[in-house]
Amino acid sequence: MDFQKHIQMSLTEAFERYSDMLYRLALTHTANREDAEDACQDVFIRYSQAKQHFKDDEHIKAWLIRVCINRCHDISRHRKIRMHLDIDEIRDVIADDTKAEEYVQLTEILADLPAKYKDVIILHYYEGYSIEECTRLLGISLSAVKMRLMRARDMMKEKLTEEG
Amino acid sequence: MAGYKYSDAYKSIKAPADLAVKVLNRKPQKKAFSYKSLISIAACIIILVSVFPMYLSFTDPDVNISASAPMTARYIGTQIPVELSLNRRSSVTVSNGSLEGYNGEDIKGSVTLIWNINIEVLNDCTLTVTDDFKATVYTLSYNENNDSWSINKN
Repeated sequence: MDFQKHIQMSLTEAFERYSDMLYRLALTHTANREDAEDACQDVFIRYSQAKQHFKDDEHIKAWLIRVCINRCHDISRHRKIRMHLDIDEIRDVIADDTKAEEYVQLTEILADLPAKYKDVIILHYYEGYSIEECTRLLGISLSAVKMRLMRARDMMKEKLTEEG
Repeated sequence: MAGYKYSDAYKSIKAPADLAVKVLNRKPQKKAFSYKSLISIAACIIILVSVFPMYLSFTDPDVNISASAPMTARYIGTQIPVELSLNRRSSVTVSNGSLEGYNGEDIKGSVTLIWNINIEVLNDCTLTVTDDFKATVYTLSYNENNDSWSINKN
């Protein structure tokens, strides 16, 4: 008989390992500090209450990312106005001023993208997940991930061209 | 990919210090009733309230001839003790004769009434127990073979 091995990771350990990753994912998605913090807080609360069995660390990470993305989508759906990050807002989360400026630019470029396009761009280009891994994380087909990436890239290029 | 140049900036984002405080120092909260739970409970109550009378309407009162009923000849058995076990407040009426010890008000629980029957018209001896949901009719009959009374639900 094959027994599935399950692992447990404490909330503290999960937070220490993945809070930065989830926070930047949420901040990039929502372009709003409060929303990003709310999303992350919610993700960890859900993790602490989760009754799910995790196979390994990657399974936990993937679960956290999925929940975080879903939470960001919820926030985006209920938001009526376009959000902008100000460089002063993020000084305490990004030490380098140049990088802070670049990061604000990135959120501006992504701001007009539909949430589903942001997902693939963030996961693939910034979190470094392969297209196959994105399919599992987002629960969509390989061709859908490729299509979203292509359209997202086109939209980003267009935006960058417009801004010169 | 134009966006790659922002990769370093993206990776340098750190979660704010107060997030750790919010997440790790959060007191475990008692799970409040969610809206869905309240709706489920309300639905259950509505179902119970609507089904319970239906259940009651299916249950009949328990009516028996008392063990001490006269088992002798019909001519002397004009007083029949009837044991009633009523699970709801009910009134009791008889088609023949009268009920001794019963003033016509609603009664509930285990009650023994004496049914004074007119033996001249034994072909029509019914006892009706009526509550808020239904009326249950029992017919009293005399068996000459074993010289006994019995009461059966119609």
